Amino acid sequence: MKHLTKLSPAEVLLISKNKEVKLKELLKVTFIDLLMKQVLETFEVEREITSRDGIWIFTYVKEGPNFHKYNFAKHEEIFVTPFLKGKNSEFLFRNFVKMAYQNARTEALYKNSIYDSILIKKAFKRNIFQKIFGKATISDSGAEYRKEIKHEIETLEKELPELAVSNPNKAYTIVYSILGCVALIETFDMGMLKNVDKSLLSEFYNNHAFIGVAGCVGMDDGYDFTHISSDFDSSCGGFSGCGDAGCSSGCSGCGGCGGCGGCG
Amino acid sequence: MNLKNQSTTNLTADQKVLWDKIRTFEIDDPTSAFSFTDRLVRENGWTYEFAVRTVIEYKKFMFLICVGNHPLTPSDQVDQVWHLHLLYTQSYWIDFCKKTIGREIHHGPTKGGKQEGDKFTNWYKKTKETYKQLFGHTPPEDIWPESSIRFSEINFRRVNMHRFWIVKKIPFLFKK
Repeated sequence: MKHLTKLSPAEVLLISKNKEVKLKELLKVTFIDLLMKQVLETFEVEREITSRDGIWIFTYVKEGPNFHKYNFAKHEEIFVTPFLKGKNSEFLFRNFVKMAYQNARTEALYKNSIYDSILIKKAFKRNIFQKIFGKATISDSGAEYRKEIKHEIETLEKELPELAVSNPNKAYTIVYSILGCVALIETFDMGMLKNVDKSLLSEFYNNHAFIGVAGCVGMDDGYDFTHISSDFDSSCGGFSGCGDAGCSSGCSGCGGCGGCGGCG
Repeated sequence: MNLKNQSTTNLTADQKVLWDKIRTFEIDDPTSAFSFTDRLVRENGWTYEFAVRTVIEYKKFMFLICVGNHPLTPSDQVDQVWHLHLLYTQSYWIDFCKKTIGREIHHGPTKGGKQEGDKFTNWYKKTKETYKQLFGHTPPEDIWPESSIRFSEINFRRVNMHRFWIVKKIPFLFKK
């Protein structure tokens, strides 16, 4: 695994798909990567709401144990800035996704921040207009990377699901060498790794630069990336037209409010 | 957004318990396609980040009302959150006032006139002082502007964005 262990999933996606990759995909895999690296964490809280029957689950995002030791790449900064303005903040997941979308500003600007990455700069050729409009042409060495990355992904798509059953420890080691790039392996989800040797986990925590401290996402905490992924999609689904989803003219069943003149 | 463990060193044990209740109170309904925050963003033209930060400042203001011993006045930004929360009557009166803080907090609009203006300016100043005293830092300037801005830039109106554009004034050419 030459490339998947070195590159972030957004960089891999850009080399693999270049102009075909959408902003939403790039944001989603970057977010999952930060969760895998324990830079960010999600947690759920059950609450009652008077206007709705039953208990409802609220998902929040907070700083993970590696937040303060991690060196953020340019394209990861949009997920970090909300936490820098409020120490120890916790954001409702859907609001966090919308903030990240707004912070990314446009697909072109976000792609520019990835194209500029030192690790993949050589994979693209860019003239001045391409730099302005967030485009790039794949270079000869980029085409070579693309072939190798495709091969790595195809190999893992074939091998990982089998390994998860026959040799979960080995599958686990592979997953944690590629971290967020696991989101690009379509045939695999983290739930497959149920029988990992606990001693391997603790050894792994001790030796891994990113995943050291408070238990690793995935196994112990039972992270379901399919769930995260679909939540991410639904949270940003209403974003582009934000607004009108479920909101006709405003007030539903309001018995007539007197209007408040504003205080002060 | 919730702010955990932040700036609560000046609070008493009881106040910490109350602040924790208010801090973790969630106004957004996870089942709504168009949430409280979405509406706040749309109606005020704010970014999500600003809206989420302003909601936490609103919660801090509510906390100050609960523990303060004098009348308080919010910034206009915080007031917009309060107005909108008041529209979500079940969330405001039942979930927040009754079940979370155990008391009713009514909103009192100004009656107008210079005397009222002076009164609210004084209360606003006191609000920010109490904030600093209890939370251990000055309130963020973009959400709690100074009094001269708070009480002079109050010419707001509802605009139909389907029919009108909004163009920012050039400060040197136009007086406020």
